[in-house]
Amino acid sequence: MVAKEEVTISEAEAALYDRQIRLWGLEAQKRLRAARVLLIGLGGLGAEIAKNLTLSGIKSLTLLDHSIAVANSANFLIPLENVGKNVVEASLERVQRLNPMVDILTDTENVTAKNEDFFSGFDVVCATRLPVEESIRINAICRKHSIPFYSGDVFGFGGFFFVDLLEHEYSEEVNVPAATLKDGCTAKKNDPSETKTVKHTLNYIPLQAAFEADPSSQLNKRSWQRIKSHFITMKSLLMFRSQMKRDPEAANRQSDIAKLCEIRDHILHEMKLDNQMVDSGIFETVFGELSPAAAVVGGVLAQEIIKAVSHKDAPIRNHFFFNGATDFSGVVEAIGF
Amino acid sequence: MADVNVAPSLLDDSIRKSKILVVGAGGIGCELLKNLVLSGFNDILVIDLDTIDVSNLNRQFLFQKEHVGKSKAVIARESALGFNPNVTIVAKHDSVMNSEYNVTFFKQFTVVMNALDNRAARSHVNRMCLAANVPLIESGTAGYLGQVTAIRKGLSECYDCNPKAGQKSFPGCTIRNTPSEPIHCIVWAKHLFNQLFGEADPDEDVSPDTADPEAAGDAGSVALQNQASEAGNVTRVSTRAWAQQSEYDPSKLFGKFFCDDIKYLLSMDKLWTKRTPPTPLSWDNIPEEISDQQGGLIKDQKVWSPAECVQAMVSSIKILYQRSKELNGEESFLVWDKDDEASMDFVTACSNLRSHVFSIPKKSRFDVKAMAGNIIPAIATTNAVIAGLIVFEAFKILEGKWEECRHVYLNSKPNALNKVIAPSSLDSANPKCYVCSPHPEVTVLLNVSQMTVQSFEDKVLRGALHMISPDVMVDDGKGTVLISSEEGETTENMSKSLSDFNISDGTRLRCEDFHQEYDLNITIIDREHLEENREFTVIADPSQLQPKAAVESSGPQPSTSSSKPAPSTRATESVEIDEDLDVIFQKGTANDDHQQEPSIRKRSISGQADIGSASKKLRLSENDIIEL
Repeated sequence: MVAKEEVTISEAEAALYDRQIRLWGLEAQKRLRAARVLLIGLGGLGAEIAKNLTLSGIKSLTLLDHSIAVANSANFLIPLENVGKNVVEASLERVQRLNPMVDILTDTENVTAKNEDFFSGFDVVCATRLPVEESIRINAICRKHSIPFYSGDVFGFGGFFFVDLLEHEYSEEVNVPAATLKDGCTAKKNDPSETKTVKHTLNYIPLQAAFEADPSSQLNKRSWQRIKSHFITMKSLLMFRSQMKRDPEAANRQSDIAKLCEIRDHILHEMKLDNQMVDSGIFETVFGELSPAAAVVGGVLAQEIIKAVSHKDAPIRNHFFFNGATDFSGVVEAIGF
Repeated sequence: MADVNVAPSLLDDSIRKSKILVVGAGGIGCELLKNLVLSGFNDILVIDLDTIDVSNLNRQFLFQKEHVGKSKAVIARESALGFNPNVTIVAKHDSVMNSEYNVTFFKQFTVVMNALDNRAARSHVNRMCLAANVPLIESGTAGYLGQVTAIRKGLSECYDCNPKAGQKSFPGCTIRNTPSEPIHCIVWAKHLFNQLFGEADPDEDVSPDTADPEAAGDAGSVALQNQASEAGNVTRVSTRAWAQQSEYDPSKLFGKFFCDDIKYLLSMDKLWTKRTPPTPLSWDNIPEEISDQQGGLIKDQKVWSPAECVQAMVSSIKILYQRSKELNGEESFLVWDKDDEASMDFVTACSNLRSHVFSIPKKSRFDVKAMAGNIIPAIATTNAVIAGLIVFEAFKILEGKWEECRHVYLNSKPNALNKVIAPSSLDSANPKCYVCSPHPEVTVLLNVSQMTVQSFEDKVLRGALHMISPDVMVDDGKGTVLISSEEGETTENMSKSLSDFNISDGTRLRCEDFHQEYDLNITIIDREHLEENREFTVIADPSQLQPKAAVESSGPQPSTSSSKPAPSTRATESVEIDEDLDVIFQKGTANDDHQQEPSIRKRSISGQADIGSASKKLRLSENDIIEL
């Protein structure tokens, strides 16, 4: 829930945010200015989200991650000399420098130790790198407090995220026919088409329901075909993480690919889709966290958070998938409805 | 740094061995440099002519407040090295259009990536990459939208294969006599700035246009006109000289532009039979309007009352006059800059006073800045996504998988296929492209007796056709040299008209840009008058596939402003974006989209024949298009 206090924009902020105020308006910027966001997990994807949100001018960003910074990480916010420190502490200085006007807070505790009170202090919660069970737990807490929730990941060349905005009201500008030409004007008229503001409400479902859904029977044939590979891959990766307590790693490349195939087959079996082919070549591309993949997924996800906070423009509902190795597409689908 | 050992070693290896040129270190450039360094690229050259402004900081994240005023390329390099100090990054604070960056220069790169914001530079780099046979990844963003595409000589269409919609511009009489919208007044105010303080351009006259065809035949105005020229007054003196006579006395300037000139316009009564006539303002009696605007706005979003306009006009003139006095020598003119407070105040004040005179709604400084400065709203996330997509295209190029390269669109909402990131197959080259076809040809309509050689070079060859060092020969059997790129060789030709060289209807000119390795044949068509008082019209051969957005564009006429990209040595100077005078692509006689000649049906790279214009239109309409 966006804070209700009256917020004014200073001249310095107006100068800094000029180019974005011209896009989404002053009202949206004021709402951003009041938003407190929790970001869980600061890997490559987390770093991109942190950068994008900090630049946008939110009120505060709390970075929560208990892991230790390693070399060769996709998190560009960590100077080399900070390798070995906790990831959020290692990243703090560079995040803060992106925008001194945003409060950047760090928390090095393990998220599993956080209870309901902790989450209730935020306006948006965004989770990355979490086992799906933990995401489900946090989403349930957020739901209870009407807090928008995102959970996303990048694996190798691609990534995905889920969003739950509960019952979300937003406005959007719709074009209306332009005014008629004035008399006597011989010039080609630069008709500014007028827009009017329209309000909508979108309903979302909890992560648990989405994760347990079977889109192969819920979606029409065309939609299912389009996301089949994305969806199965996402589920396989999340289940791998839950079972193996780690992500696929290059050191165990062959056995991890085999394990992923096994998990995938199990998923297909459960969905009674044993005879449906899903390309196993895709599991070759899920190792590590490629910078451009983090950039794409992190860019889309952060913009969704901005939309949600500002209540402006239609947000994605409720899954986004991107793959930079297969179809080079960013696809949206409503799963579990 | 990213763990790139996640894909088969082939890609890894190609990345490590590659040399990349990044053109531009702004919104896309900063994000791109970060991605490149993290992905294992370790030999990068980045070039940008601009310096850092505070309005960049909401997205160009390699820069902080303390860097304002410094070179973008230099600071971007420094910040990017923080991600991996072992990478080689060379920074050039320079214009990529300088002759130093010749075809040999371009040939050293494995891939060139554009991160630009203007068509002239894009067109130029396009030609250089074609000449050097180096793959080019082109991209652009505007607001929530963005695009990425790959360009390779012989394998895809080039940047110039498809016509671009023209820059909006207005006929002189609308600007000078009969404005009806805020933008007309804003353009007028910018012209006024140039007339008073900047480089005066004869196309940017601000006084009433007595040659307005609408006013013709009016005995009264003709009489007044005769009176005026008989008195031998202002019509013979430049605006600047006249202003200097009174030392830029604001009351005198005000009196001329918002009173006397308006009265003159009123006397041209034919103009006002169907329009609301203007009301002259009096210096001694400026209306003080009480605004009932909402609170909670940024200061700049409040619309000024006429009295506030006069105040701003007076103070800005004082500052600008002082500044122009301090300049000496050749550089005795100011360049209008939207980020300069006095320049911006001046245009806001004068355009709103003019709007008031013509009963046109006034605009806040915030809005005037956007319109006068051609500001395109910009955010971090769009640039981040596009820069990521650029690297994915680069991966495919490095792996030799050209058939996987795509033109990728970032949409503001899911398209018909539920895609917010939507790839589409690359189109093959336009066989009649005026740049990349084997024998490029265009036709130019102009008045051979009125167009000077200088104008032809500046406005047609450089402005519209984006050449940078043209050599032109008349195809008259005698090899007459019209323009030489060698300094001093053809100076005496410049002020002559084209007809002085026996250039007439149907004459062909052979143009060469040695630097761009670009040959172009131009056929001249002599026309006494063109539509809407244009000075010239460029026509390429009919293109098979006209993009939906193709619009008739203009030759030079009073347009929003002109720009000559040059390295920015002064902190305040900045390149105006997307202002290039554009080429008109008109269909020939066959005015039918669906007519197809099998010999020039395009084939897409994947081998499936396009269904011609219809399918391209469908594809375009699925996605949000921005003109690169």
